[in-house]
Amino acid sequence: MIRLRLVVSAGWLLFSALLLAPLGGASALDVPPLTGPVQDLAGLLTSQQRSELEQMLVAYKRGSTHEFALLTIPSLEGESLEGFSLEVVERWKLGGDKEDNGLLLLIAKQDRKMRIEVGYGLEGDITDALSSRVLDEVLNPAFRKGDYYGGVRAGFERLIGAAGGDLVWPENPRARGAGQENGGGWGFLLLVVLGLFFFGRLGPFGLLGLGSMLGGGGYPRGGGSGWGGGGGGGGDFGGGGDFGGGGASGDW
Amino acid sequence: MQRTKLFVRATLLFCVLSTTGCGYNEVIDRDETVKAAWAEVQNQYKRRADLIPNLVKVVKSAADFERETLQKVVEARAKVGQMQVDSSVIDDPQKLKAFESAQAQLGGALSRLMVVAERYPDLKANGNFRDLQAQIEGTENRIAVARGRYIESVSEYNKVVLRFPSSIGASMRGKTERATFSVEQEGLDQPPELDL
Repeated sequence: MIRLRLVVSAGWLLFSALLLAPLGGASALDVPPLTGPVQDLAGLLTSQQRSELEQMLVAYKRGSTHEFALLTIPSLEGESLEGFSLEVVERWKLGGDKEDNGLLLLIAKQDRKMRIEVGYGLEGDITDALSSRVLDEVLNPAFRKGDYYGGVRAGFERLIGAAGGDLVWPENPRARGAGQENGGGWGFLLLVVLGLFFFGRLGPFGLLGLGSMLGGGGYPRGGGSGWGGGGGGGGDFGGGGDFGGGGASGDW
Repeated sequence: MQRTKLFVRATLLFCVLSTTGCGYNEVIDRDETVKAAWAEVQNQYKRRADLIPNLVKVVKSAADFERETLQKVVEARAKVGQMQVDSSVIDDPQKLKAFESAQAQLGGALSRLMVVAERYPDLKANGNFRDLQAQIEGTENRIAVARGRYIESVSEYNKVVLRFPSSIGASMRGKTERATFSVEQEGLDQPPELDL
């Protein structure tokens, strides 16, 4: 009897937990999943520009372990810039678990507001004053001219200069091409298989042709689906870093 | 009679067997989280207080800056500095309230100073002032974050203390409900009134 009661109440607990779980944390503006260091939801960048920024930030992670990321959104939909920015970094957890060396540049297009959110571990190098200067002196003038890419790139360069560490590009251009995006990786594999299929019967010439395909690179570059998860030996962003609200906000 | 006895025994057995031990250990974990969150709150308030002497120096350098506004910041800063703040604050609702209101006063005086500063072009052009302004804004944001996390940690702690069955373990540990900050962020809700 008692046992039954316990089982029943335990069942109820579980049931209500399951029922209530999805209700928690629902807000007007949802945090997008982390798929890579550049998420241009506002469409401020061309795909070429985005891919160049991605490569730069991955190269920087390789040379410093710091995880710098960019998120652009069309609108804050009434949410506060600081509040949403914190939500994003709490979800994305940029930077290492112990190092807390992540940084987010958030840009809200329609609101014309932007923010640099700095992880605990970088607060010493990237002070609030520096973040504010980067926004006011680098991003603001470029954005006013409509040059989003130029502003973001120069801003990241300035921040990287302050945080230290190097940009390490993969030595092998093939690896760079393949590591660049996950989505491309499959297409690349497909090409290799197709290449083997076609050139395989052509003997040594076929292999030569395949070799030049591999060496030439270029093929795997594509429209670019997200590449979170595994690409490029440095593409894993979101290592568990914590943030405490450091950084600065700005507008243009 | 027999049934209640059985029920008590079953509950105790459940407590012993369950991983949480009916809050006996959980309440300690929550308590530590609260203390860590409090340390961060204190840290950030201290950081703000430490910025003020420099700010006052820079603002004083601006010709004929509103004396009264500056004076209020200096006084509020002094009041905060005099307060004895140790970890006992979080277990004493009175002390917590006094701490919060002194900090809120400083926050209000500071934000008024920042608004007034907008009227002084040479101050706004001063690189030192702009850096300090950015640091104070950053610190205010950190304070907001730290307060939010503290409120959350206390709420989780209180749940363990008040809810059955974890309340059993909590009372065995001598842990009681804690007071927390008011949810409104200081200084953010009502912008300082400004007579131009």
